[in-house]
Amino acid sequence: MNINELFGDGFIILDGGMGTMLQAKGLEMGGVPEVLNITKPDWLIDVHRSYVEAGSNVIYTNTFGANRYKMKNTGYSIEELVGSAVKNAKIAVKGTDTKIALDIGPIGQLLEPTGTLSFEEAYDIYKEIIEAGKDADLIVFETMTDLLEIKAGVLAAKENSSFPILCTMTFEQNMRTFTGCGVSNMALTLDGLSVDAIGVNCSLGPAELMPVVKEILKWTNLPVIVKPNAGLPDPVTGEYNVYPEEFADLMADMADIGVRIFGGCCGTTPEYIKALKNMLNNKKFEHKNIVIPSATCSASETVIINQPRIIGERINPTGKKKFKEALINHDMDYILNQAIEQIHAGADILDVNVGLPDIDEKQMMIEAVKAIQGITDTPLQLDSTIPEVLEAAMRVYCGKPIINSVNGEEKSLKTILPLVKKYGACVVGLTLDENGIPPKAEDRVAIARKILDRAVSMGIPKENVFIDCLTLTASAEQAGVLETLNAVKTVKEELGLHTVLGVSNISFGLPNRERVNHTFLALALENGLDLPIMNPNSASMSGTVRAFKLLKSIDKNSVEYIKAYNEEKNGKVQKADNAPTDNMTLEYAIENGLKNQGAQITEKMLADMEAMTIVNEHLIPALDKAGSGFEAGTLFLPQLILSAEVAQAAFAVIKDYISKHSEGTVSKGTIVIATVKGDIHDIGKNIVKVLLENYGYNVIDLGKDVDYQAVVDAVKKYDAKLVGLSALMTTTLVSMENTIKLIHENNLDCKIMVGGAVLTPSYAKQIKADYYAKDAKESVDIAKEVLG
Amino acid sequence: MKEITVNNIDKYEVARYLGYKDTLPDVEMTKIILECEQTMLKTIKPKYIYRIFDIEQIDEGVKIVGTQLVLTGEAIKKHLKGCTKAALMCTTLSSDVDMLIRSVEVNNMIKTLVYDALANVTIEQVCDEVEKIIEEDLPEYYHTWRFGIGYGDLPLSLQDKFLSVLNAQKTIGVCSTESCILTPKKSVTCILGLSKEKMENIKKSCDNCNMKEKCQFRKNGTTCN
Repeated sequence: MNINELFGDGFIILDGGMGTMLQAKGLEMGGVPEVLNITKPDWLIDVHRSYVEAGSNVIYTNTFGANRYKMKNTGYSIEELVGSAVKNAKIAVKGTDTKIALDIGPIGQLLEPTGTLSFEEAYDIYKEIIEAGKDADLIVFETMTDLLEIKAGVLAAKENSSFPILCTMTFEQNMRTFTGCGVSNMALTLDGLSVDAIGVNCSLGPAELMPVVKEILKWTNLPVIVKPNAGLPDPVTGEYNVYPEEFADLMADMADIGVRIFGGCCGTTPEYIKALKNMLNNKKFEHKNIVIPSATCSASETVIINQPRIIGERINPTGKKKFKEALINHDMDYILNQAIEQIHAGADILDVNVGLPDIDEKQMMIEAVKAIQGITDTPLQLDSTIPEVLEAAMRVYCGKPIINSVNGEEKSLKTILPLVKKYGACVVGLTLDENGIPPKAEDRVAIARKILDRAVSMGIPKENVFIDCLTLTASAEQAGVLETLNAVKTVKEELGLHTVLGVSNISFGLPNRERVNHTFLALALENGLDLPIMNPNSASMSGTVRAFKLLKSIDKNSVEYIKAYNEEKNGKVQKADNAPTDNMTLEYAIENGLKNQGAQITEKMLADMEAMTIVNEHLIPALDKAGSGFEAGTLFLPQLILSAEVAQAAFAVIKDYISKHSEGTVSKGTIVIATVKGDIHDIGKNIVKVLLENYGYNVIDLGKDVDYQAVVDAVKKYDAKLVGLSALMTTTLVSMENTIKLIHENNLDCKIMVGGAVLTPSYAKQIKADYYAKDAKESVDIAKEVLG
Repeated sequence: MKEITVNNIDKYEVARYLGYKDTLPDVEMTKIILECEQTMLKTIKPKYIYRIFDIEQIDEGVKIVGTQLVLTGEAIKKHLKGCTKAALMCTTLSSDVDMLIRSVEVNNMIKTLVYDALANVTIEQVCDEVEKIIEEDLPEYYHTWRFGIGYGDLPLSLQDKFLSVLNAQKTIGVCSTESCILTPKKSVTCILGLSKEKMENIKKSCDNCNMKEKCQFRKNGTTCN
């Protein structure tokens, strides 16, 4: 069932405010409106009827907050609350054509990483509501501010019902939601998920929402919904300032520019709906088809593919020993560092590949996507050879991703393209099939055409298909270089598709690879390459893209180019200042917080000193000195951290040296640390981590809001002899106690140290911790005592 | 609603949050603080909501009239003694600040500490601004200092009900987790007592603070005021 089958092809009128009406009937502030479905059904029937009579084609059930989290203290089940809401609505619409929308609002808790609610829990919560509302006619998500939360809801709706889905999010005057989601990001993502209509509700009046509405209309061909407040409320009286006639007048302008579905939110009443109906009686809806730009997005950043965009290739363990180690050790910070580095170097999109034979790639991919999107707005290209991994990543990705990749093989087309369609992603199509990579350009173009045709036949828009004509190695197949370039040109010009190429392969086996790479990159760009997959950290590679954009007048007035190199120039000047003087010692650098110098001195020291001698006789004594100063109150926490960061840089040099020159390790033992379940304050724990690492301990950081069982599992897996737990709130101390209990129940041979603002030594003892650490310095002392 | 803008963050306060007591940060540290301040000012999107209610002292605490909220405990009773009304307030710097801190946490602990301190000072400055707005809106009233949820014996578990009375998720995007932690993290919920008569509780002091025994400032030989 779709919208047109339910309502025909004209305008659709929704209802107005519910809270406003219930408060007028006597609902107290802070009261739970959904309980009235059961205790005061006549109130609800009355409100619904007044909207039906005013002309609403759709009424929303009184279920905005009817989720298990918000309803936990009401004494009613979701089935009861939602079931009675739908029943009340049915009574009200009896004998009319008005349809019933199961109304679903935000859960009331923020999703990870700002909050503690996981995507998977959000999905379950929504699924429960949707199953309880099976007697409605359609589903509406409204007042949403988090794109990932509404995505969880939409997937729950799609996978557990066949109703049409309407989605409205709430935007501020800066065209963003509270969580930073932009208009294009909403449209690209929800349109991709094949909902039936999208739009905006609440927060502002119709006049203030006009810019938001205009922007939505630029990004979708779906029916657009507007459900504004009755203007803005007076802060003291709470009264709204736009009356029904004016409200309808302002909405008339929206009907003229292409909005199809109208209603009212806070402060609106049946009078407003009547006025809307009168206004729309004199108008006819005309669908305007627009061309939507080819683009990928996160929740708050949209990258339009209208010029060369760099896809950073570094988040990929292939051929990288340290990356592999990081995956095995679950070192998410290593991966996040790779992300940050590439973004600073100029990446527009990041490829994410965490495939390694010995790890659970699906689980790692989910964690990596969640972690990366928690620290950056840069859109992601999800890269795996396993369809289940790609699907898992697409589910939790917040935005419209690129999928890397499908190819011309029947099996690949059949498994990958349905996923691309379902999740509304862009996809990279590799021009190879059952017979391998065709040597000739025209045969690669033929495969590209096959991929395109198949995608379009499945309802994937052409603008979402990107083609990779595949770079072969110049040293082995020199003639192939030109074939690739020709194929790129033809795909771009004849098929009208955007193109992708992994660039660095070209120079494999040759000396001075970088020179070959950036020359090939320039050639490919000139032949129509839009999305080079490359190492942005290489100055000559990102420089080539910048110079190309300048020379092609894409970078108008050379603004980006000048900005990039002025900054780089300043950076270089700084670097020259940072060279250590001849007689500077590592101890001095640590004491004075000189990070670059510390690293450079360590490199020099490694030439004629054992790595462990540097650690034990220079690095650790210098840190001890800083620690004593902190204890004595002569040194403040920022200075201690600055010293720790120098030591960290020195350590990185040493670890690098060891991994290149021997199989040995500098580890003095493994420590598992975590901020306990329910707590999200982890700065203290992270300070502890940095210090412990500097003393040579291998720290497995489980992050924040960590399940009891996850701590136990990690202690077993890494055979850790020491566990550090932190909690900052009185409300989460109980989680600390439970975690300790579970460690003891499992008879694990490890000591437990605890810390955090609200802890005291006596409480630590009471919950059976072995040690209480009052600060990061003391946690190092404890580690020395336990592990040596 | 009047808009709140913050153009300058109190660096003395920031230094105090960072643990400096009788000295100021050195030149390098000051540079970091100033650089981070600029980023912080660009990142914050201060938002607030407040509402004024009549209040009623009852046995278990203070009832917020016209709502289902009762502020329980002796501390809030004492705090609101002699007040006829209360302003319930919630402020936030927005989730962008959380993201900024998460992103530096990956590879720069020093900036993490500085941003955290800057945000803590900024949210208090935002609360100060809201206090000024309340003073302008209700010129005939004196008000107490801001009593936070979780102070004294006023339980953190009231967080959800408090936010729901202010409709804070819809109006400014603030929620609380199951452990009653406000999200975005740099958010504050608090109560100001209002009275037409001048009262004692106008200024916060160590004597009326429940953190007195655990306070990091006091351990360092300073106070937060």
